[in-house]
Amino acid sequence: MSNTRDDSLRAHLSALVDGELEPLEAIALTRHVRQSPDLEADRQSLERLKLAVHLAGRQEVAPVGLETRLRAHVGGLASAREAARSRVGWLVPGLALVATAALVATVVLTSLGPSAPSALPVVADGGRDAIVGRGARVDLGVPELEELVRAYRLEDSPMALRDLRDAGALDGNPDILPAGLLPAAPESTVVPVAYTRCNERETGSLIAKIRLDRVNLAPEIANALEGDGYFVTRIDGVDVRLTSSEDRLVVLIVPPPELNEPI
Amino acid sequence: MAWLSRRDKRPTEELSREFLATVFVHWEGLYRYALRLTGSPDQAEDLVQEALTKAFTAYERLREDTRHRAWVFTILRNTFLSKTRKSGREAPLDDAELVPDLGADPVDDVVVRAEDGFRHGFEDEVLEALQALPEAHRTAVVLCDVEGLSYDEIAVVLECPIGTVRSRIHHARRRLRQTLAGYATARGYDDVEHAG
Repeated sequence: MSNTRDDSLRAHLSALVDGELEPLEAIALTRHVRQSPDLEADRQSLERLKLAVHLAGRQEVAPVGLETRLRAHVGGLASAREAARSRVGWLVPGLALVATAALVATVVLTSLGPSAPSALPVVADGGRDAIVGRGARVDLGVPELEELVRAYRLEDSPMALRDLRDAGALDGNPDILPAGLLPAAPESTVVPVAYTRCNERETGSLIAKIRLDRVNLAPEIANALEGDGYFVTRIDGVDVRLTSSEDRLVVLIVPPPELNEPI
Repeated sequence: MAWLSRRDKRPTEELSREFLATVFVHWEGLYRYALRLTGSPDQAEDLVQEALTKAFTAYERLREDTRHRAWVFTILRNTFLSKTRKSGREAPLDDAELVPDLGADPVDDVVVRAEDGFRHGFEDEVLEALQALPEAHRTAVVLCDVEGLSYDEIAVVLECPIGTVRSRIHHARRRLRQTLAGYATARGYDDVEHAG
């Protein structure tokens, strides 16, 4: 015949069997169990049940070859990760974000205010190729342009610049811009810059040239560029303008006027 | 675009090596648990594969103090529950369900036979009784008794307090004893001398 005390302690027997009671709890409950034949029988029954469940669960073996298949699957995941990292390394030059210590980038300062610095005039013509790139074809669409803007704003890692340099994507001083690419402005400055971080407060606009044979343009961009056309979009308040010049894609990022500052 | 993210820049080879040592090493336990969840070897294998995929994808963002075993079991369980909800199969768990406790005596015959090498095939009854438990109870008992997880780890997997884990294991075992007692009665085992 069970008593009330035994019943209240019975709920803790499983934890005692599993070794999950605090030390003092375990000592106290063990003492009670020794003094109660009912509790002791219950404890032993729980131990046998635990063992039965353990043995029944463990007797099921995994199918032959399962470990091998799972290892191969994980290996595939690792390969995919590595391939994605390599592809991204080629994609960076395609977007041409910023220059580091080993790079020379051309920065276009668009000054719309009265304190515009004196600078070299911009000469825009049909374009002159400037960048020698290398790498596999990479996709270039609005999502990639959004990434470009985030890096431009330093909202993402500027490590892309190192990848640009390693991939040999930037070359020389592309200071000749295709006609019509720059927004209308009283003065524009093309300044060859070295060791430039991608920071709109330091550099104003950013221009980059990408080999067209290295990118897969999204349909809306390709359609807009036909016949010397332009693709213009605004991302997070930043104008992104694209056009093609011979075998190059020219990308210009123009920040809002209030953020323009002379170097 | 990974190169613009702030994710871990560790080489893939190093990441894979760590993943195999800390997560993949639990593959057998994951399979056994998946089998208890799905009841099907094929579905269990698919479930494990899917869980490992999710785990690998998230692995490089883990905090250093993560308990990998509990973490990957959690992924597996959540993947199972997500699939189950979509298909509308599993009945919701009733934590308040009370199981009348018949006490230790009626089931001791069955349990003694089970630990004596299953000459009477009671391992099947034990597994059937486990499958009859609501999922959260089943998970608690399986992770505790078969896979050896601590209550703390089980609380991580079940996403509940340790007190709830203790309660679920307590109720699950009471229910198992009731179910197994029914098997013993059905087989005509009235007392120990006549069993086997």
